[in-house]
Amino acid sequence: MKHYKLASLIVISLITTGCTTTLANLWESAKTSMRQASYASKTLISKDPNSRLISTADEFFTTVEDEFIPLSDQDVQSYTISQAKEVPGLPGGAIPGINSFHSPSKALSSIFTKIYFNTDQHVPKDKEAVAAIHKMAAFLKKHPSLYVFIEGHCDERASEAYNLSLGTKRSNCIRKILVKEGVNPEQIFTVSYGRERPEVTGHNEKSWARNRRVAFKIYDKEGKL
Amino acid sequence: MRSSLFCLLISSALFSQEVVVPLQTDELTTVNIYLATIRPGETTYEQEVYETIKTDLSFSGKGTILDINETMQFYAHHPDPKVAFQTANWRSLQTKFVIIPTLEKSELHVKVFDTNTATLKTLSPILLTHNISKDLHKIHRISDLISKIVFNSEGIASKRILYSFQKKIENNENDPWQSEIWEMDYDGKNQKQITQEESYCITPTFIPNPNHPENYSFLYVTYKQGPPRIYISSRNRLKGVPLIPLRGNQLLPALSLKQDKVAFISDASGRADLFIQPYHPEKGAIGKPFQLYSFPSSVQASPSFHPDGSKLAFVSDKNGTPKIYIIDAHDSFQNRKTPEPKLLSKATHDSTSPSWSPDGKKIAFSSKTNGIRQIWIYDIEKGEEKQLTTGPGDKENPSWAKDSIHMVYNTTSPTHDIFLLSLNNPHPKRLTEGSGIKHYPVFEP
Repeated sequence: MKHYKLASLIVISLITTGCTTTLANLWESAKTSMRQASYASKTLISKDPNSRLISTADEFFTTVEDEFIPLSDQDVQSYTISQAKEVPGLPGGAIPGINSFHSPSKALSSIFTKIYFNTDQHVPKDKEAVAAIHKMAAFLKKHPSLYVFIEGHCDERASEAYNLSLGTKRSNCIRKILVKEGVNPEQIFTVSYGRERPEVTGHNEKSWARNRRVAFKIYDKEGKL
Repeated sequence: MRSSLFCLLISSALFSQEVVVPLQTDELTTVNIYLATIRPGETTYEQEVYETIKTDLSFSGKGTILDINETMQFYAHHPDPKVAFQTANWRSLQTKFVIIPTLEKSELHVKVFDTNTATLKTLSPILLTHNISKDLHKIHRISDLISKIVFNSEGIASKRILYSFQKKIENNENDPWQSEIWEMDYDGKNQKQITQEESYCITPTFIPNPNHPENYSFLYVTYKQGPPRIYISSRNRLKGVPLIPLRGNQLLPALSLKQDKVAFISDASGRADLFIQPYHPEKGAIGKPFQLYSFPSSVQASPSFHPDGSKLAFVSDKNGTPKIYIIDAHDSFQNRKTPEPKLLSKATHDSTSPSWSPDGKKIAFSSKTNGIRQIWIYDIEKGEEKQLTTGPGDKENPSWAKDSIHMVYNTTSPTHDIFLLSLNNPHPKRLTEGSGIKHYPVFEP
């Protein structure tokens, strides 16, 4: 009986709410609630929702030298992997700017292949993408003079400014996986273009899927590749 | 338990009513202003000066510029001040202010007469070249001073707008994407490229120069090295220099009004966190930047300072959809714990690009409304929000003018263009046209 009353109350509330707000906003509220619930459940089961990506803190944690004053929280420090120490393109620096990097040649295009993502995802899910990253990691380990830029791109549906930040998430995720595979983190740089440089300019699901991607540019210090 | 749940659901239903906000503009009481034509008014230049002042004063929406009238013209330019500034005459003509510009050789003289208080104010004369494109900015400054007397708040006619202008160069196989920083006047005139990085430059921010307003500096993000980095340059230099020696992607810089802090987004640690770099206008970056906010699996974006620099509005997707949060913007000491940001509003969803008004009372932002990004403002004191724009086409990146009444924003569909919006006028004014992507506009503070 109690359950019946409660269910009725929820239905009445939903109807009332539905009359006073738009369906889109209601759907957004529902999605946010589901994400929060999912986050909370993962937090209860594991220590952090990111634990699926990282096996131990020691395995990934690298110091960010002494470039900034960090927050002291454990969760902030444990699950980050800092960028390469060298900033490309600095006068007198060891690594030139991105203009000296180039798209992979035909011979290397099967290794440094573009990776596409599902909506709102930054972790590659399909087997082909995971296999491509394995292949890439093996190649980079074999060629320590090879440096790579991972470009993070988004589709046009989120706002411009937010996408600039969001683009870092995809490129950093791929970088993280490559480092986990044993690639020297100093070989890998990331760059976020947000939605600034679409691969295709259509305004439909097919175009958006093509634009949610990471692409690669490489530079061989020995000039062989 | 049941009653509290019921209250929660009812309050949820009531709260959601606030989502639908009727469009309305602030109520105004306008004043009648007579702007006398410039005597003798025979040259095109004199007419252009007159039209510039008239447009600048009309733009505020606070006053009504009366039509040219022979009687008023007779009084305004009468050689005897007792006749010219006879309050009874002007009151009978229902005129609150009389503005009398005159050109004497190469100097523009302006008198402003308040018919209510019988007060006459004479502005310092300005030297003109008689080349309207060169003199335009000086004339805008005169208009702003007139606004200060007439409307009790300085105008924004002399304030410039910076923005990014992206062009795709089809024949450039290496990198077809080029974007530079441009400036324009508040009305869209005098569009001019001010960087020549031959790279990809976006998201400019003003660093005003109070002593030499013409030679302001600015921050922007350039991809010339590969990862986006914050550069600093000034108006008369075409290339800038890096500001912050920090690895990784540096994005979306914002400068506090006191010019003592730069907030930005950096993934130096591996995820898009909110950072603050202590700054000095003459010395540049001071010491190390500090990590202000980080959250697992989330990205932060678009910081905007409260005018006193004590707080920041920023975007985070820590709970799923991007929303706007407020956080304290101080405490650079070691061993800090992550501060807890406060959610600005639960009523709007997918909200981005906040901009704190110079009076500190409002935050403008872009929020998806029935599938289209519209500009909204959140009233800090009342805790209410209001939708400002309507109609098709996504609108993003609002930036307030100094008067906290006007703002610029850009559309991202169907075209990327910049618009000027006033709280007093529901019809935005388009400032840019033509091909190319014009976006990330920012008003001179």
